[in-house]
Amino acid sequence: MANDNLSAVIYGPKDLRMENREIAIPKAGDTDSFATEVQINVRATGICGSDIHYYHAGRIGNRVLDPKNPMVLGHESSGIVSALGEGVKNLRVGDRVAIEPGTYCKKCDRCVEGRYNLCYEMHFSGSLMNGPNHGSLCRYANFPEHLCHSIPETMTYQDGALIEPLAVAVHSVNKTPIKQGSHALVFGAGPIGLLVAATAYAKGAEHVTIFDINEHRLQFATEYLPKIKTVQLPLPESDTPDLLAWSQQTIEKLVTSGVIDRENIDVCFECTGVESCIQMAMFAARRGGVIMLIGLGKGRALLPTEVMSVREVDVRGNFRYAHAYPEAIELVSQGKVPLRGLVTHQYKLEDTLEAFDKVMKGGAGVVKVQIGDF
Amino acid sequence: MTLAQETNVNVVLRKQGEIVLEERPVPTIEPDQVLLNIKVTGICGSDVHYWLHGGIGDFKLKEPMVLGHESAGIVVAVGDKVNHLKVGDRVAVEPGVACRKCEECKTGRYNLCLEMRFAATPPIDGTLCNYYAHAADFCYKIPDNISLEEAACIEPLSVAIHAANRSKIRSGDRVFIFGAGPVGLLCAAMAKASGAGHVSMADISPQRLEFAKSYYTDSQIVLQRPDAGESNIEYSRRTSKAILETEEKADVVIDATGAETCVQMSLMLTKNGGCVVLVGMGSAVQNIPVQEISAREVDIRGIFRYCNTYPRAVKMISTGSIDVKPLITHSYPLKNAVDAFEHVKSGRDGAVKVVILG
Repeated sequence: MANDNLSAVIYGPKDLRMENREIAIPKAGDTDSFATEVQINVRATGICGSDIHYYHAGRIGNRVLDPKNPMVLGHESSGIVSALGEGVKNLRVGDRVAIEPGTYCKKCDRCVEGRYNLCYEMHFSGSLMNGPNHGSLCRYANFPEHLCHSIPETMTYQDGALIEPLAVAVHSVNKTPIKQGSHALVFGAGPIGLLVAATAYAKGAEHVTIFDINEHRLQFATEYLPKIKTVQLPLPESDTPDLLAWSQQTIEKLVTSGVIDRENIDVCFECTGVESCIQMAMFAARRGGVIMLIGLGKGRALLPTEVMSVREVDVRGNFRYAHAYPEAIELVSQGKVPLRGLVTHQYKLEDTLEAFDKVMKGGAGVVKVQIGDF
Repeated sequence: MTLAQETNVNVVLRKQGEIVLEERPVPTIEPDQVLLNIKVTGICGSDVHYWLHGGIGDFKLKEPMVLGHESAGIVVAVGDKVNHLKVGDRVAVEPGVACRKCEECKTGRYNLCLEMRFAATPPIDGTLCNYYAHAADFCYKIPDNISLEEAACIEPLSVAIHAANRSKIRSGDRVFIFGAGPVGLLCAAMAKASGAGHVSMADISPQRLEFAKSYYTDSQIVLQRPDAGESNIEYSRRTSKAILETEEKADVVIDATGAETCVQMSLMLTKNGGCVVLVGMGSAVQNIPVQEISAREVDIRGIFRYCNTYPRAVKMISTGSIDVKPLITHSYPLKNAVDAFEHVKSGRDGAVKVVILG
């Protein structure tokens, strides 16, 4: 086992440095046994769109990286317990775990009612909010014991590191009326869209159609989920004067040609954050249907509020997850959500910069890129 | 059947801008219908909108139509298949008759029924008349302690009940309401009846808020108009920040205005995990700060009319959970219906709900 703590540290846009940091001793539990930590030898970490955003732009929204206060990236991780803080009850050295990367205060009204993803004092790995909060793209990281979820021997470290995005999918799908026989549309065939579709099927959805502008992603979707229907969407011209009208017409064409059976579409999952996709999702749902906004984009969109009123189409949002890891792990270990094939590229921790460039370049065949010692 | 009067005067919107009184035959009823002598009809903003603009959204006036849909009356005849009502019963009228057979109806969301026949939505004639035939199962008998004026208010109250149902207001919740018109006020009443701990109300009219002070609201905020050249989103950010200096974020925010700024502010004033209900119907397209939805899990739910509200409304008024009487500020006899509409249009003399008496 390595005894360095090589870590991927972001200082600013395009300034990601591999540095050796301290291997911290996991904190002992006190009367507040919430804080009892375990030390994890991190073995796999997936790269997420938010990591790329910090790498590319040096900021997310109005949270800007400060080079005097750099941050370790990474929040989609799995590993093996390497040391225990004093008072750890439920884990042992050698246990293989998926890491839930957000420590919450447990006292605010959101925590207390079980929606800890909305905690005002949330410290989320690899995020600047209430931070910088050091993440897990490194060799050793410490996390509270209760946030480290055991994974069975049948799950690889790659699978374990996919539990984080799968938890987003599980949390989202659970907030919609998806059940036996449901029909769903998914906008965006990236890892989140694919996992949302897989979860919808696992929860009984009968018909899922996935949309993307990229035919390679749609081809991959069919290999990953053979039952799924795919539709390649056109891209609006950059000078389209009325984007909302374009979105509406695009959906109407798909409805008239029978590609979308609108009055049976129970839920539209929006996994891109792109304004025209949010608009299309609203035009594609049945009366009384639900739009689930998962993708994070520009932050503002021109929306057909009339659809919300006259058709009572609800718009719900999803932010990360709360208490979704156990269910996500269960769905994978029972074979209800497949993960094979999603990790398309693997890199050693030393080659992190190459991995980031691979994700930034994208292109055919890139779905989920993971870094680690598998 | 002998009727108290043989004439059936109808208040007809002949075309945009033109309301006339017309005599029409007394309708015959189907076996599953009752014939009602309409006694009280409240005027709604939508009636005024059809009058002034000839249409609302996709619903356009193509031929003359009787106005009115907020009514109560007395049963004067019952069809052969009607068992639960008899001549002389006083009833509140639910103006939208659904098909009862489609998936929306069968799952209890009959307000979304595609075959819905809603009084005073073209081309269906409304209830502003002396005699109206209606499906008996959409007429609800009221006890003696509810007046016909109160019963006519059950229709707009139903909008508030449906909004509360969709938002799931719970005991102790903080509720913020944009709009101090009759619907906003009824939403405040409903919020309190649902156990809300604090109800705040905002409007641009200080006079309306003065009324609200004594009607189910705990704090009132006067909104300024946007500065010249200020975009709506800039106004909304600035104003919601100012509001949060004296108000806490709310569990449920109800917009009863339809104004884009109020919809934007509604999202900004909701707590993480809370919910915005769009009651007001404004522009079909609005600029929405979706990051409040995605990053803070604030849901938005619109409402379209209501469903499954009348029986509850009757109970609430009868037991005193809600008092709608203060909202009825002015009344006119049927023959002066045009004056009543002009009064609502002008909003003068502190008009809240104006009713027409038959």
